[in-house]
Amino acid sequence: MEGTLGYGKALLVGVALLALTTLSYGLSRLHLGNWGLVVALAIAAIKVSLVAFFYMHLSERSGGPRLVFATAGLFVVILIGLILVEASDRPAAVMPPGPFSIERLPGLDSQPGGEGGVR
Amino acid sequence: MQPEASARPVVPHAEHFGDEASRQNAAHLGMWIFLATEVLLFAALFAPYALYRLAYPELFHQAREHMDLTLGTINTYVLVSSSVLVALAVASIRKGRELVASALLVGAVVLGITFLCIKGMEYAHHAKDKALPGAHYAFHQFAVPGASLYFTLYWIMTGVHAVHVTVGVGVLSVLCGQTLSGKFSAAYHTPLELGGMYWHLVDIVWLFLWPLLYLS
Repeated sequence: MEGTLGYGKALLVGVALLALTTLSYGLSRLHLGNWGLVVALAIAAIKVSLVAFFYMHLSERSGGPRLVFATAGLFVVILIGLILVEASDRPAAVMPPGPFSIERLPGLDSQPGGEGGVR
Repeated sequence: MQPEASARPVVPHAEHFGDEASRQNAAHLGMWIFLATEVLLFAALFAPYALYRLAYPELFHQAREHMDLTLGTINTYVLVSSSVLVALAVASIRKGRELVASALLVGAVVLGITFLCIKGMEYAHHAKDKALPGAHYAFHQFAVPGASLYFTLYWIMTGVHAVHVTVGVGVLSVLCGQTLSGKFSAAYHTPLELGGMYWHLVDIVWLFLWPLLYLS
């Protein structure tokens, strides 16, 4: 079978995964600001592609499995993407924590009415 | 009224399952559909994370200072290494080396248990700090609006993932026993491939949890 997972390929992908993990850790120490999250997720996406394509045998199986993988990924992007688009379009007043004064901060037990944390 | 029995002869195997390759294709497709439902389960957890990160960008960025980056990073290496061992186990059984495959699976199981132990240590630290989910949150060093949301998401996301790691350790242990007992060979090892795919999915979820909760 072409593209079959052998020792060489498994080890090569493994080394790439560990190297990308180290790269992700190293870049996080550089404090890239807002780009830090984007870069970290991009590296994670590359690692996931390697795992799915080689370790989960997508390279050996065209058709159905690849379609399911792509569809699942697309649905995740649609779900989270639409949530982010909708939420970033809202007026600030309707986003948490809202315009209300915060009387009961998390972690502060000495509130009127006494016991328990924040509801 | 009972329907009359079919006059057609019973076919022991339908044509589309006529050979091992067809059965493998069907098994892999079924496994991928199951894994897709798992992906959507975790998507339902990543969705509120995305929403609340949008609402509290600074807070979610600061929260990483209260996470144990060393333990989280060690756990990433542990889980990635276990995935490599499972891939090598599949490569071994394809060459008919049952003993090597079993040994590699034992290694993956040990790494999976190591992951859970390290996660347990982290949970103990957070519990000691009272950085607990929901109404139980009482972490005074990080008592700002939204902080309890971050830790609630942290506990639920990593908790659901840890349940999957536990199931995966069980699956790999059973597969290891079956490999040792000679159930699998170079010609037939589909369950080992499918169990390995489940373990790789567990790894994939952590590959996103680690940067979101510890790095950025």
